[in-house]
Amino acid sequence: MTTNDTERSGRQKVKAVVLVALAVAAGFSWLGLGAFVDAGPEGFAVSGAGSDGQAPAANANETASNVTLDELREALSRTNRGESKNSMTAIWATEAYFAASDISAEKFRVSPADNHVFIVFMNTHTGALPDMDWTNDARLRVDGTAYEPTDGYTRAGGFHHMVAVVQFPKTAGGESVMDDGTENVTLRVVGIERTVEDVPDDAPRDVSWAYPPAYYGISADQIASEDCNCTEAAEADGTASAVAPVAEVA
Amino acid sequence: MVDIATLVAVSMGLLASTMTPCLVQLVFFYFAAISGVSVSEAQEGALDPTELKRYRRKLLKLTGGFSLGVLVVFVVSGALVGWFGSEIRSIPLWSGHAIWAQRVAGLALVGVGLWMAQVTRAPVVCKVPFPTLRRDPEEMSTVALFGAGFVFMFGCATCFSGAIFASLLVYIGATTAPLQGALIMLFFGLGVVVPLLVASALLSRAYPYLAKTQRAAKYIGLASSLFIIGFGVVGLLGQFHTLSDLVWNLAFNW
Repeated sequence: MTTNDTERSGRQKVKAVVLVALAVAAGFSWLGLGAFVDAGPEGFAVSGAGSDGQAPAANANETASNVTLDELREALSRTNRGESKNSMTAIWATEAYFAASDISAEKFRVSPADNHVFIVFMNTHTGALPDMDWTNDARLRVDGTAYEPTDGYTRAGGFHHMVAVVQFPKTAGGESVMDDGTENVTLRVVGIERTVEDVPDDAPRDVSWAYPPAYYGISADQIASEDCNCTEAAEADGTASAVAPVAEVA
Repeated sequence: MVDIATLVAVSMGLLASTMTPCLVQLVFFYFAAISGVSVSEAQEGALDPTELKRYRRKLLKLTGGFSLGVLVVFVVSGALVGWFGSEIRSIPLWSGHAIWAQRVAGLALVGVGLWMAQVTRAPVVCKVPFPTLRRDPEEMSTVALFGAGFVFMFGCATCFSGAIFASLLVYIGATTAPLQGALIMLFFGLGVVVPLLVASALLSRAYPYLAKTQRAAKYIGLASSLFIIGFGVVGLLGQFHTLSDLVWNLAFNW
């Protein structure tokens, strides 16, 4: 073999190794999509709530207009990752949320007009989620007063990922369960820790909203297309948490 | 009316957020499967220009077969979710802990691994008796890789589907929309397999120049076969999720 042949062979090997490295990078490239498309963990935007599920204080923005669906979802979502590997995200699904998401509440078997509806996502990447319907044991605590659900069911998933729906009455004893004086609303779930060692099975998991959460009273008509400049407007009056561009339904 | 732009947006949102270890495993599995077959092919004089062209075409065809196998599971699953809505849970495959699906997939993967050992002439494993089908080897390889992609995703479906379906149902589960479900999952699947096709195009240019690799083709074939058989055994034991946990812990908790 001549020197030229050796050099050419060496160059080809370097080229081949670089190509293999590029191929590996290409194969996993879809993992980088999350850097450009912000859909939140497991497909849904979540708020800036910390691991204890306490939401940052938020002001109602009842008259806000040009709010995108993503901003609404962001404002109504809370995540509590707790101490275990099982995380929980809840969306306070208002009438406007259903309407703007183009989801039929009727086919979802809920009534956001008469109830406070929550869509709850549970996710884990280790072990398994509890194989149980926890919705009957869920409680809505309004400034410490607990309310039982009127209905709830596991909608899909299991094992590592699960979504459930639970709804609570808007009135109790003829009076609204929330009013202008309400400060804090908490959704409490028991059972999510059942498959986690070192955590009691009946340890509750809470997610909380300062009442009313941003955009809570907004109507579906006020949900704008995603190309509006709503983030700027919302930030101006301090109602928006960090909002990133999304590529979900708008 | 189907709004394609919205469906693509939903698909990309799902893909961006569904970084489940299952999909990461899929890419590892792909590289094992495609390397086992393609390296053994590369040693057959692929440096000749005509052979090189044929080799590259074949590698893309093999990846196409694998990708199609994966896409079929995604598209059919999406259509079923759209069709059944939340009642999808009543289908045994997605009832939560359908171990039988993993076992069926595991058995099939052991078969694919043994087949790969045969075609790559992997030491020792190729001595295992395996039925010889009188078919065109190239066609057989494409069919085998289609099967590999299909059974891998089928086996993962019990866990992986939870992540996807939970999200998907919020968008389409409330309405009977099999077409939307199928299209969302098609675009989602393309988001995964198009990078694999790009990777395949790059590998097809690399392998023929790795002379030493060509000499080691038998051993690469052996490693690939054992990797796939290992996946199969894990599936047979109904422990696919243990691998997911391992991948997750290695990636995020080390």
